[in-house]
Amino acid sequence: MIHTLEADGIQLSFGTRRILGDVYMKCETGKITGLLGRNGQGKTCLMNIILGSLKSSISSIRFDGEVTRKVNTRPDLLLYLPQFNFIPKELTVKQVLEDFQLAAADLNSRFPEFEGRHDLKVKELSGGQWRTIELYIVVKTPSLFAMLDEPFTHLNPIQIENIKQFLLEEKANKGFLITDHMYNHLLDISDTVYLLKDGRTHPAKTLEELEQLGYVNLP
Amino acid sequence: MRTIKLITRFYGAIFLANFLVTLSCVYLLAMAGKNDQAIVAVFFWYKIISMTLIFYTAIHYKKQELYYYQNLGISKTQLILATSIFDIFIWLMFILLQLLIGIPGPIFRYILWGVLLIHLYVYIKK
Repeated sequence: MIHTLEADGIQLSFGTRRILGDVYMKCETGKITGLLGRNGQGKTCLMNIILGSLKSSISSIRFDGEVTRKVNTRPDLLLYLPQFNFIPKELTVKQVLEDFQLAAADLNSRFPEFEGRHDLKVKELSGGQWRTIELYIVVKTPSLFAMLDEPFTHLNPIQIENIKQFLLEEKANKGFLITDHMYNHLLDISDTVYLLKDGRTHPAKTLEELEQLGYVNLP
Repeated sequence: MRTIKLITRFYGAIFLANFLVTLSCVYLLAMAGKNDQAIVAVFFWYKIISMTLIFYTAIHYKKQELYYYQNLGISKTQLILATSIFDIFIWLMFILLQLLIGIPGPIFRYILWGVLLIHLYVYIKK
């Protein structure tokens, strides 16, 4: 069964400055939805509104057509990877996996660089490994959807390719909404792409469309 | 069970600061002598205000970590409520114990210094 997450009619203003005006977007399980936009266009705000941690003047978040509020208390529906590190730095990799009830062997088989490092505290990992373990728990923990805010930050090119492959494999288990400035990687793996511009979402899939919308300058 | 473990872990990070306030209340109660029962209300508000400040500081400095608990199904409100109630309960137990037993003030002074030193040690170690 395909599940849907819809964000509809989202409006957000800070004082007199309108950030989002009548935004609509739809995600489905089994698909990766990309969200692009320049800095300050409201990508993270949109994710926080969907999550329920940021209030907007008008919004409707629907799961399978049913309006759902306070999604941030429903990890079975939606998990969130913020753009900054969120795992308490004093925890070990083992404790993190136990908290999320994930098997250590699965992590080792998917990311062999963690072999023998489960007793290390998260703060003792490299920036790339720290980001990888955060991605891993959000992607692997059962839920209908996951929102990933700048998942490729802190990762080297090999790690990025590995994560892209991982996301393509895991999209069979949930739907993803991903935003990142590395648009080439996002275009590679996304089934649907929205560009957030002037407070509205514009469907776009190719580089040419992104150029027409003024997001990129092609040579 | 997992929820209790996670809330306890969050509380562990702010336990010493809160416990220090609780012990200082008991110490002041021990020093109050005959007027001890009349002054409990003052200590209660002292505890509430200091606890609010400690929680506010903790939430401010750990706001990124709150997403960790959120992804595990524990909201910020649940964390604050559960730890506040537990902390007030500890405070109440110590106050009642002091009112019933009446441990002399000088003994509490040593305990207070001990906890303060542990607090400093943990802070420096971090």
